[in-house]
Amino acid sequence: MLYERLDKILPNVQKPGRYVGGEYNSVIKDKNKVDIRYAFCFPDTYEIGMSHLGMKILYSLVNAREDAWCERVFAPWTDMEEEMRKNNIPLYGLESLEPIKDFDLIGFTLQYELSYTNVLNMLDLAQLPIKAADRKELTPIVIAGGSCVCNPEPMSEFIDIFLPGEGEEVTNELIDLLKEHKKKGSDKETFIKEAVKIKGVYAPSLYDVSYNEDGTVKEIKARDTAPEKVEKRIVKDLDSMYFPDKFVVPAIEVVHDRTTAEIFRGCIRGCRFCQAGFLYRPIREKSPETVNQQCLALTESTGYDEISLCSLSTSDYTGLPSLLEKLLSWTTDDRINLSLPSLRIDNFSDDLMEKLLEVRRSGLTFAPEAGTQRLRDVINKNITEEEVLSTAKKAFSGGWTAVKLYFMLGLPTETLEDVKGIAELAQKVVNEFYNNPEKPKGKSVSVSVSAASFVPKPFTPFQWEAQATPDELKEKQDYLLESTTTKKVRVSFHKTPTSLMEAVFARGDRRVSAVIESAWKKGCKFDSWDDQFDFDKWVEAFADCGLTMDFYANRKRSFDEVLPWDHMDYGISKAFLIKENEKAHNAQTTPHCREKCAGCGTNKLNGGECHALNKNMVQ
Amino acid sequence: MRLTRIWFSKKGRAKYISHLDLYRTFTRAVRRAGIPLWYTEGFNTHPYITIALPLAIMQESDREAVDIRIENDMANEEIKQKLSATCPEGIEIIDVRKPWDDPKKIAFADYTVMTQFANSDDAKKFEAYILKSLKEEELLVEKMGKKNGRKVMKEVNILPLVNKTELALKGSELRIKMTVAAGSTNNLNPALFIDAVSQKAEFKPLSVNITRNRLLTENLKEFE
Repeated sequence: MLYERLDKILPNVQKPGRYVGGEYNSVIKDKNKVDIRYAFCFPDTYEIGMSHLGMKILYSLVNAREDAWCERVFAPWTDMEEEMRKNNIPLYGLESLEPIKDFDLIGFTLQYELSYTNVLNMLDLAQLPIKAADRKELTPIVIAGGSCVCNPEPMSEFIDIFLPGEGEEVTNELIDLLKEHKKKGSDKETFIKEAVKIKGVYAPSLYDVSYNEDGTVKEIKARDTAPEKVEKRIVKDLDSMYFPDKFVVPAIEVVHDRTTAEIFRGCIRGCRFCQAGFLYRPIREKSPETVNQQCLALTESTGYDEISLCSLSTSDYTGLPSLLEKLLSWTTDDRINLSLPSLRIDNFSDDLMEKLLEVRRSGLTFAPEAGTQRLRDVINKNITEEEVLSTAKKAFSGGWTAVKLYFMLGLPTETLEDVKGIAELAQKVVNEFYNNPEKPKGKSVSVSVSAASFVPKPFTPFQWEAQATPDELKEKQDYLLESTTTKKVRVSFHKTPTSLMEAVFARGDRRVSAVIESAWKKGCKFDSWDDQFDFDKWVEAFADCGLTMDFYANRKRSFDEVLPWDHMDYGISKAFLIKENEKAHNAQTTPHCREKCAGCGTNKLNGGECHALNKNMVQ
Repeated sequence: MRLTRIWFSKKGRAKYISHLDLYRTFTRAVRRAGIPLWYTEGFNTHPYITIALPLAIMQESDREAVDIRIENDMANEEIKQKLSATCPEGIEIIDVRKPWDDPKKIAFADYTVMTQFANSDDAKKFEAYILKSLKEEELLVEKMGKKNGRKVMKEVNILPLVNKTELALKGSELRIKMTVAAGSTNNLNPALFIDAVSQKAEFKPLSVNITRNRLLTENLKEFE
């Protein structure tokens, strides 16, 4: 056991509580009584990883099996990494404090592109070869899931198996298969060839990619047992789906330290820039009864005094009134706060506002995303200025004084007129406050505008679009600052080089693997942390590999170009995405899925079923 | 509503739970246990949970006290049983009973400091430095203090804060038992004492493990 050795180095690092485990509800098993040891790795700090719902679900799901033991692993911060390397301490699981190189499965969740170098760094800290081809033994098999897996190509050199889609079922199937092959003493290749027969399993080593002279992909060809198209997995029925009744309760403060209850998957809105809105389709709702029961069990087993409902758009959940009634019947007495993120302003009813006043008052956030109606029509964010202003008015009457507004810069077809519109809309929200006779007495208003840079993502109607160059984005940011004339409005931006990197990885092909490896070797890690991100090293890495960033980020693709992720099937038809792209360029909107099915095609994954079609708002 | 005092030990992995995190940990453990916490009145309502004396992170303790206010008349024995099942690894509930002394009465604490050296010579040398330091007029350390509400570094003589020391040398290991000032007015973290001696000696132990054994009142009687 590493404990004694850790004990000696932990006084030298910040927040040692990140590295010792022992939290309430963490699962300790007898390693001699399990067949499969699974290291669930989150490629970022403890505080961020411990806030992630997907990890909690899969941790409990694997540990619910008697034959497997799942442990948690996070990226050690740079001070801890230094100590570990100096003292030759390999990356370990927080439960057993044993090296994960001896485990059978190492699973990474890829939630955002800028965590990729951390995956390499963690494999290296585990004292394993970072490249899949250099890990010859059957175990550990390195797998990866999460939303970024919709285009797994940039990470294909490092990961043995990707699991596109939802992990609840396929994880168990893969564990069963690995257990069988471990017993048989199979080699890695045999196992992988069998694994790809499971639906929703992608092994990059079984696909050959060829390129055209201009650098675009020519062809992606499956070999052996691998399917031409890898269809993502979904869970059909969320009510009967596995959901934990316990969460590991961290002792140190983490980002989201509370009970999280998922209420539905998918999104009916179809905002054209939003990858999550397309990736998690079709719509599947959990019943209010199930959600309420799960919240009860979780708050009891964790002692948390806050419940957060989780979905892409809380107010689109048909069971919301019923769920709130059920929850409020016990949460008030138990002194539990409810938080409802991701509310949309166009269905923010008076009734809902009243219910919200019963729960704790947090900040109010709107996401108009674009400054003018024309551009909001382009991105299909079906929100009008009147809706924004009338909701702001309601909120001010309700006592709120701070409002956050989210926008994006660099959207397709955007002009400086649209940028100016952001400042104007923010000003109108400020005016709404001062024109409101019911505004809170003696208080001032603060409106914060957060303007992110648009990143075109796979499986969205904008997957063919060019990202605005850093110079263009800078110009727009400056213009927005110039257009903002009041001190009541504060403007903040995303760093442009970070958004550029995100765009490269999001739509990168296999050759980008070499760039990631080169950048990591130069010392890149924790790229999503401003104080760690080193753009110059990335520029060098691209030059070393003979690739350019603008080929991936700033180039507009034609509809007939073979995209690096064309062998991934997320249910969304390309014809639908093309139609949506064309409508975008004509500033034509598409009604949301409950109003009229737009024919995205994802219901084929669920036997033709989609809850947007057969559940309406009244229940 | 009544006040009850929970006695617990904090060892192993739990020593990495900081004072602030321990407060949160207890709130949750008590909620999990279904013990009816009393909440303060007013706008920002919160439970009443007070840890008698903060313990530095990475130090263990045989006996710590936390006071909670509860509603109803749940018996102390029941509280002990329920809470024992809901505390994280390393926190053991020793006793639950009526508080006797006000935490303000805490004036001293007993510690055991285990120091490990590369060899017995170093250990012996360090022991000598400790004995020498104790005999001197002052032992100065730099401590973060406040001056006119601002944080400043100031030099403090910690010798008056050391009440009693007892040294035991065993090979390369030196055990120091010490009674030092503890509480809100005067407080000495034994780690600071070791640092001060290390500075004089110009070398430091390879490892230092500190355990708090008891909390004491003004007349060196056990805090109860």
